[in-house]
Amino acid sequence: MSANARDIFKAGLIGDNPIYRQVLGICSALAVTNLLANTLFMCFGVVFTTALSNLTVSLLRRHIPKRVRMIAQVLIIASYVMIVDTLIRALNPDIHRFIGPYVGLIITNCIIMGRAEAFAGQNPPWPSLLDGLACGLGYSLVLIVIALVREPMGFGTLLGYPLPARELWWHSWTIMVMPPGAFFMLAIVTWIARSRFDAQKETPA
Amino acid sequence: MTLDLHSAPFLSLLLVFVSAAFTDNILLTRFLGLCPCMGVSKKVDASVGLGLAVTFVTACTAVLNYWVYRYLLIPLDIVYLRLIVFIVVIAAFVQFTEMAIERVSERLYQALGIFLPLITVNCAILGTSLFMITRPYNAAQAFVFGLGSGFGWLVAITLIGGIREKIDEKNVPPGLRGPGITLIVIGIMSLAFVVFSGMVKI
Amino acid sequence: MNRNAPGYVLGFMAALCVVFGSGVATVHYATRDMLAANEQLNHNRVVCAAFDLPVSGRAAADYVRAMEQALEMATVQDGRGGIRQVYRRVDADAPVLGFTFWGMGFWDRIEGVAVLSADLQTLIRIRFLDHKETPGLGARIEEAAFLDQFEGLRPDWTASPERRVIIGSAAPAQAGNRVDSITGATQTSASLMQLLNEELERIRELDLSELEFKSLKETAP
Repeated sequence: MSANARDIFKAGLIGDNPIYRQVLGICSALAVTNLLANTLFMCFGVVFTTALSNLTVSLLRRHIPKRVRMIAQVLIIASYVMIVDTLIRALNPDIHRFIGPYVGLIITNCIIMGRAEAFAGQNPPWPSLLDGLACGLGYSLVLIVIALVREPMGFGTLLGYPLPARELWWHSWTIMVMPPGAFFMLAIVTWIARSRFDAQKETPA
Repeated sequence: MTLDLHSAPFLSLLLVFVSAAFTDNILLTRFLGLCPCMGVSKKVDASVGLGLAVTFVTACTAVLNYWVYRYLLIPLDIVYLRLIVFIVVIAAFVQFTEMAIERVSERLYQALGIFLPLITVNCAILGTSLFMITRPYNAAQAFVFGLGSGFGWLVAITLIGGIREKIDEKNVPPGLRGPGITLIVIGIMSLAFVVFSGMVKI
Repeated sequence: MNRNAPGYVLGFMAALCVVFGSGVATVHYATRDMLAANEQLNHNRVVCAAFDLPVSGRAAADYVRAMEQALEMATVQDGRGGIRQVYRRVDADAPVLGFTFWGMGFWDRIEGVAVLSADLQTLIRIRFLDHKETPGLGARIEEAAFLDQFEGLRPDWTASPERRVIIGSAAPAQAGNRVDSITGATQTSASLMQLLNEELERIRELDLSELEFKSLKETAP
C-alpha cells in the first residue's frame, strides 16, 4: 500500500506532472503566478478540490453513465467549490475577500477534471484521493517555481517584501507581470523538466 | 469607440461581434479554453473542426442561457445557481447536437463527432455565457456575442495549428517540442492581440 | 443494468442535478442572513474608509455608529435601472459627497464609492466595494499605491466625457486628472477609466439640490 502510494505521488509530482507532462491547468497557471502569495492560495485551493472531487467521482464511478461522465464530473466539482465558497463567505468574509477571485479559476481548472476522468473514474476511493493530492502538489510545484522567477523579475519583491539591493539589479520587467510572461516561463520549465526527466524516452506530444 | 447598444441594431451587432472575436479574444486575452487548444492544435484540419464545433455551441448556448437566465433564474430568484444551470444547459445541448448530427449526416458526424465530448469541458463556452449575463445584451446580441467569441477562438486555434504544422518540420530541441514551443507561440500571439485592445469597446 | 440506456442517463443526470443543486441551495439559504449581514458590513466599512471617518472599534455596530454620526444619505436612480446611494458628510466644515458607482471591469462588475467635494471639482477618495479582477494583475486596483493616487485628483470637466479622468499614459504625467495605470493590467485599467468617466458624467447630470438627504437612523431598517 505504501509503495503504491509512493508511486502515485512520484507520478503526480514528476513523471506525470499535470502541467509540463499532461499540459493541463494552464489558464490558472498564467493568471496567478506573478505574485508568490497568490500562487500559494491558488495551489491550496486546487489541491483541496482535486482530492475531494477525485474521491467523490471514485465513489460514484460504478453509477456514472459513460456518455455523461464529464458533465457529471464538472457538476460535482462546481457544486463543491460553490458550497465551500458560500460557507467561507458567510463565516469569514475577510478571508473570502482574498480567496473569492480564485473560485472561478478553480472551477474551470481542467486538472481537476482531467484527474477525475483519467484516474478516479477507474480506481477505488483511497488511491483516487492520493492521486488528487499528488497531482495538486505537482501542479503547485511548477506554479511555485514560476512564481519564484516572475515575482522577483516583475516586481523586485518576494511574497511582497522587497528583495535586497533591488535598486542595483532590478528593472521593472513588465512582461513578467503580464500573462504572456507566464507562457514563456512555462515553456522554459517544460523544456528543462522534459529534457531532464525523460532524456531517454522520446514522446511525441 | 463606444456605442449605444440600443441604436442602430445592425451596427451594434457588428460591433459586438468584432469586439468579442478580436478585441476580447477569449483564448488570447482571457486565456480560456487553453487546454483543448493545446491538445488539438497540432494540425490545421483538426483545429478548424474543433473551432467550428465550438463556435456553433458557444453561439447557441449563449442565447439559450440568456433565455434561461432571463425567464427562469431571475423570476425564481435562483441566480446564485447560474453556474450549475449553465453547465447543465451546455452539456445537454452538446448531447442533443451529437445525437442530431449522428442521425442527420454521417459525414458531419465523422468530422465533428470526436470533438463534441471535448466541448463540454471547454471553459471558453461556459465563460462566454457567464460574461454575457454581466453585459446589457438582448437575445440577438447575446447570440452574436457567442458567435463572436467562438469565432475568435476558431481564428486563434487555426492560426496556432498552422504555425505548429510549420514548426514540426523544423529542428526544435527535443524537450521543447510539442507543448513547450506551443506555449511560446501562444505567448507571442497573445502579445500581438494585446494591440487589439481598445480598438472597439462595448 | 444498462448504464447507457437513455432512461438511465436522464434519470442519473436529473438525480445528480437535484442532489447537488439542492446541496448548494441549502447552504445558500442557511447562510442567507449571514451573507446579507456581511455584505452590509463590507459596505459600511468601505464607506467609512472612503470618507475617512473615525471608527471606534471593529464591530459592525461601530461602523454603523460612525456613519450615523457623520453622514446623511439620499437615494437616486442610477440611470440604468438601479439605485445609487449618495452620502453627505454633515460633521465636517467643507461639504463632501460620496457616490456609489459601478461599471464593467475586465471580468465582471467593479463597484465602489467615490467621495468628491460638493462642487465635484476634486476627487477626495475612491474605494472599491467589490470586483472580480485577476489576482496579482487587475486586483491590484485595491492596493494603496494605486488608490492613493486618486486623492486630490481634479477631473477635467472641460475635456471630452471619456477623458475627464485618465488612467495611464494618455495624458502628460503632471496632468492634474491623471493617475498611473497598473503595470501589466492594461484591460482592467482601461475598463476602470471608462467606467469612472461614465459614472462621473452621470453624477454631473444629477440635480444635487433635489436630493432629499435623510439621517441614517431614519433610513435604517
